[in-house]
Amino acid sequence: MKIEVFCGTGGVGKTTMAAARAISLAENQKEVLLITIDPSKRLKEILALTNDDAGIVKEVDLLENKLSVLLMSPEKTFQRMAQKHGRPEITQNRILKILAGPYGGLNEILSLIELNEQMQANYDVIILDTPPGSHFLDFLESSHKIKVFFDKSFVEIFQYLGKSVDYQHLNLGNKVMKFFVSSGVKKLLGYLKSVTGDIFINDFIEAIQAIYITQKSFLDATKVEEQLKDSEMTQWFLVTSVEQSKHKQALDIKSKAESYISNNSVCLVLNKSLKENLTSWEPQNNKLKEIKESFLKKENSLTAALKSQFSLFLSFPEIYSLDPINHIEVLKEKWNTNSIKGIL
Amino acid sequence: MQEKFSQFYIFTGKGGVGKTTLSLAFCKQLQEETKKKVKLVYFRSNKIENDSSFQSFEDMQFQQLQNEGIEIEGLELRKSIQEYMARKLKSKTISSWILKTPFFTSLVNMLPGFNFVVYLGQILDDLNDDPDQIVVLDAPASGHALTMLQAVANFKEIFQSGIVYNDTKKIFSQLTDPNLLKIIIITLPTQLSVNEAKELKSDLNEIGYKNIQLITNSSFLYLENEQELPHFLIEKIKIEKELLNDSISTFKIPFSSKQTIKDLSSEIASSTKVII
Repeated sequence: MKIEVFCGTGGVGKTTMAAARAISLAENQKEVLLITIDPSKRLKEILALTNDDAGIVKEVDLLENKLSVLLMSPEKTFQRMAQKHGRPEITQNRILKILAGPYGGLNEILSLIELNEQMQANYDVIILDTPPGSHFLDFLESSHKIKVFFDKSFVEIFQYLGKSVDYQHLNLGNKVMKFFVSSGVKKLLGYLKSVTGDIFINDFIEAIQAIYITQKSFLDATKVEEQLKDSEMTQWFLVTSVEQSKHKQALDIKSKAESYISNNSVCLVLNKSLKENLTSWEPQNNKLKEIKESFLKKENSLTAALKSQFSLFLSFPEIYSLDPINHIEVLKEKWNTNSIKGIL
Repeated sequence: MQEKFSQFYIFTGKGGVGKTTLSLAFCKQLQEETKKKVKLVYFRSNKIENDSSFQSFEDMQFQQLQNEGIEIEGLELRKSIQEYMARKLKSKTISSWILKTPFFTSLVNMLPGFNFVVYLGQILDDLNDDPDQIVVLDAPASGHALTMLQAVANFKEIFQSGIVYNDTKKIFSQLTDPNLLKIIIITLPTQLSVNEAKELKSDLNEIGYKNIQLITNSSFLYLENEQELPHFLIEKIKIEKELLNDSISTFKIPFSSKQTIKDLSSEIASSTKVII
C-alpha cells in the first residue's frame, strides 16, 4: 500500500488536486481511498458527501470510476476511539468536546489516528488531504506532541493527583504510585487553579485521564510518522499556486520539510499556472504588454526558485470554470499524462 | 467630516494575497489621516519553548519594510504568557518557574489556540493602556483566522470560572464590539479565494464578530472595457464578476504590475471610507 499526502496552505486547490489524483489512479485500476477535509459545498456534492456522512467511508462513482471517499471528522474519530476503548462517556468531557470539534485544534492529531485506522484496510493507495492547520507540517509535529505529552506530563500530573484518581480503573496498578512525589506539581496546579479556576482544573484532569485511557490509539498513531517518512511508502505532494505563492515562502516550506521528509519523496505541485495562456497571448498595447510581462516574470521566477529546490516538480494550468467537476476532469487528464511519462 | 475609526484592525487572508503589503499601506494611510500613533503587530514566535534565535518568514518580510515609518511589534508566545502569568500571580519568579515546567509546556501544546487568546489579550491590554493609539494586526498567513477568533469563544467555554475565564470573556466581548474591532479579509478574485473569504465572514458572524469587510486584491474588473483581451483574461473577468456580484460588498483594489506600498496607500486613500 502507498500513501499520498497532499499538503499546502488553504486556497491553493489542494482538495480538488487530491480528488483529481484519486480519480486518475482509480482509472488505472487502483483501489483508492480519498480522505478529504472540509471540501467546498459544491465539491462535496460531486463527491456525494453530506456532513452526515462525515467519518464514514463512502463508495462514489465519479467520472465513470469507483472510489472510496472519507470526509474526515475529528469528532467521529474521537467517538470511535472512545468506543474502542470501552469508554464512550469520555467524549462528554467539556474540554475534549471543544478541542475535537471543528477548528478545535486536535484535528491534526485525530487525523493521524484516523489514517492509522484506515491503513489497516486493503487499499492500493490512500490519498490524504491534510487538515487546514497552520502549516502542513503541524501534521507531523502532532506526533511529536503526543510523545512529549505522554513522556513527561503524565508522570507529573499523576504524582500530584494522588488519591483522587481511581488507579485501579485506569489499570495502572501501583506503577504510578511508586513515582517519587516531587514537590513541584502540587504547587504548580495550585497556582494554575488560582488563575484558571477550579472547574477548569477538574475538567482538565478528567480530560487527561480520558487521554490516558485512550493512549494506545495516540501512541499507535505516532508509528504512522515512520511510514510517512519512508519514501518507499509515502509520496508527498506539496501544493502551491502561482497566484498565492511567493519565492521566499516556498523556500521557507522547503527548509521546514527537510527535517521531516527526504528530498526524493516530495513533489512540488504548482497549481494555476498561466504559462500556456500567456505564451500564446500577443498583447497590442502597452498597458496589456505590461500586464503580460508582470505575470510572466512572476511565474518564471517562482518556477525557477521552486525547481532549484525540488527535484520532482509538476505544473497544472489554471482552469476557468465555476464547476469543480470541470476542474477535476482537466486535472485528472494532466495526472494521467504525468503517470504515462513515468514521472510518478 | 470626522471619520469614525476603529481602535483595532485585524487583517487576515491566505499567504500571498498581499495581506502584509496592504496592512502596511493601510497603517501608513491611517497615520496620515488620524495623526495618531499606529502600530502594526504580528505574531513572531508561537513556541512556548525558548527560541529567541528563530527567524520567521514574517521577520524577514518586516525587516525589509522597516523603513516605512510604522512602528512594528512582533509578539512572542513565551514572553506574552510569562507576562500574563506574572501579572495575574503578581510574581515574575513564579511565572517564569511555571513556564519552565514540562507539564505547563504540554498543557499549552495540548490546548491549541491558547496562544491566540494570550496574544489578543495582550493587544487589548495595550490598547487599554493607551486608548489613543490604533493597532493593526497582520494575522498569521498560514493559520486560519477562524482558529484564532474561534479560540477566544472556545476558551470562554473551556474555563468556566476563574481569572482566565473572566479575562477571556472580557476579550470576547471587546472583540465582538463593532466599534472597537474591524476585521478585514483580503481575498483574490478567484473562486476558491472568494468563496473561502465569504465562508470565513459568515463563520465569524456566527461566532459573534460583527464588523467585517472583504477586500479583493488584484481585481481585473478595470480591464473590462479593454479591447483585444486574451481569452483567459476575459474568462477571469467573467468569473470575478459572477463571484462578486452579490450582497456581500467587497472593496476592489485593481491589479497592478508593481504593487508598492506607496501605490497602495494612495489607492487606499481614495477609498478610506470603505475600509475604515
